[in-house]
Amino acid sequence: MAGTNVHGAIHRKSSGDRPSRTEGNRAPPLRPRDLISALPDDVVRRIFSFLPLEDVVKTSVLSKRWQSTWTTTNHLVFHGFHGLRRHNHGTYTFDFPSLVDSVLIRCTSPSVKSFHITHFKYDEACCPKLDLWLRFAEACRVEDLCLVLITGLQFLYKLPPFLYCLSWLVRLEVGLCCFSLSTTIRWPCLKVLLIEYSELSDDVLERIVRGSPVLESLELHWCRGVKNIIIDSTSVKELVLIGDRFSNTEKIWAPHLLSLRLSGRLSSVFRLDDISSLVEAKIDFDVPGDMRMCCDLLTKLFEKLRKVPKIIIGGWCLQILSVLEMKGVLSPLSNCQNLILRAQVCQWDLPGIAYMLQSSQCLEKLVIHLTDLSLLKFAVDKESEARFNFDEEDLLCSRKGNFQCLAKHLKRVEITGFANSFGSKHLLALIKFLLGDTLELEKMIIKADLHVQHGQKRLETADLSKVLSVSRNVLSYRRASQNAEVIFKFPCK
Amino acid sequence: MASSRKITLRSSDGESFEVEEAVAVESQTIKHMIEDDCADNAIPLPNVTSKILAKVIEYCKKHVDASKAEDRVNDEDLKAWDAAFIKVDQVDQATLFDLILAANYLNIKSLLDLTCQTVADMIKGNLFPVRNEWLNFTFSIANRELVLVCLTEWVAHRRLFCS
Repeated sequence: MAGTNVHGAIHRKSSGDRPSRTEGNRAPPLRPRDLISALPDDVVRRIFSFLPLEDVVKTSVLSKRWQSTWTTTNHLVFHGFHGLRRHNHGTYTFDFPSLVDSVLIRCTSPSVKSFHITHFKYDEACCPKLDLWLRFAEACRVEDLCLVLITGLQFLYKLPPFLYCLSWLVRLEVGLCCFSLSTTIRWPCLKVLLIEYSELSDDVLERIVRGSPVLESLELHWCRGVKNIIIDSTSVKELVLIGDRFSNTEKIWAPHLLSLRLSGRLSSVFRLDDISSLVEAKIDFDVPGDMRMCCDLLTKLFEKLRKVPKIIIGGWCLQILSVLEMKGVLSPLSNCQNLILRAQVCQWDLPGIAYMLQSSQCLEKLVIHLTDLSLLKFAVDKESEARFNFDEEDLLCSRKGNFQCLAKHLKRVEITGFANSFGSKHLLALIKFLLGDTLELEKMIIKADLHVQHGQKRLETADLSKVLSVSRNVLSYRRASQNAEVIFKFPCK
Repeated sequence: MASSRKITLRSSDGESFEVEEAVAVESQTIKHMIEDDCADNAIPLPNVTSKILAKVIEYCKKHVDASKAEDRVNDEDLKAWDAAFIKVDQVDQATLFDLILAANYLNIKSLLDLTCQTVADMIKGNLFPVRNEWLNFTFSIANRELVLVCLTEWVAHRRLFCS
């Protein structure tokens, strides 16, 4: 907040009416660039942080005074976009490394808040250059460092040793790099760490956690080499794990973790060993293997998640729960109060929803995000398939007695994305059931995004009238709770 | 008990505004003043006029109310409200800049980000006219070339690969 403040000066000039062109002796209206010139330096730098770097450099043409203001920017974000050189059309000679060099040479700011190099096409020859850029970042006490490369999996960039001891680093994101096996890691201020497509190992991960005493959020996307995630630090609150078929994480042990998100493809022998402090879990993954193995895995998983008050479940997992439900497996009673499902609500999902309704005895809020995808990622055997030919109303009504949450706790239901599958009989049956049997329901909010479908110019009248007639039907369903409000929201784009 | 306390803020032109403490502490500056016990009487804000202070209070009130409400759907409504709040045409640019200075002085991060983003969008959209003649004689050769690259090739390259 230190810095020039010409607040009074601005008011003196801009008070009064807009001067007309004929009056020559009135002061001319303040030009926009004079207004920005009146802002204190740190505000100008903040404005620069919202602009792509080329626009920041372009401000040097605004006026003489602005010629080198851009060099004070402390937000250096470079997007390589494959850094191609094209000569065939004559004029095109984009050279990313030279551009970065030219900018870095001119930067005068002693400290750089953000330094990002993304989509940089990397090969062995660039290694010294990249090292040099990172040295620059280190010298400028960078707080937010992002290095996401484009390279083959065999040519990962080896992070230089000085990178493991950055004292001011608060946020680090690396992609397609590899970590040294023996250097000590010391990031005393690091709060957020995101590693993508990189080679790690259990040992490296342990050193990272040990060297980052205030680490709060750890994200591993599509990383290879980590079998056991062991986090005994009390500062780490959030862990996000996105796997693919190369990832082989098998075990998570993190007794102080508060939030866990699992997506993508995980290993078939994946398990949670200790997550006793967890308050939020997102389970949106799938696992290769036969039906029995998947059911087994999910049964054990939900056994561990019994105390978690907020659970988010994605399509594949919900469908495995459906299989469990149709097999007659009893769901463990849980403390879940806030349940969010991403599902299509078709016949493959409904039993899974029943499974969760029975398990979550104190459920207060249920949110369903309707998805477009038809998820049947597993092959159902003939016997199970036969079980799925049920009548949706029968299914729900027959289990009504087990749904304790409906009697006392469930107060709020939200359904979004409704227009994608409005009219689906399973969804309507679910809504009808919930309205008719939830005794303490206060609000049911149904939000239909009325997007124009592919190929259409505008919303068809037929679509609109269908939505309206479905809404009218829903509003006419019997409600168990006298105070229940049913609200439809139709945001149009 | 503390949440229902009223705080009086006085603008540079002498007008007093009474606000709830929860709204007032959206400003880190005011929050520190309260914590340091300087807030028994009215808090003087010599850098902020009443016109701007009224708008700042309107913004803070809306954001405090929005954070209380339970609906998650309020995120989009709040963004729409912010957009309408900050909408400027040529006449009101002075207000925008006064708001920036006030948000900076009062240390209200969300308002500062909102206003700075708006200015950044104006720069990006070239609402600030660029004086091309500067390119010819103001710069040293090296600087001129860098700016030229930024003006032409880099932007074109991004458009090619970015969309």
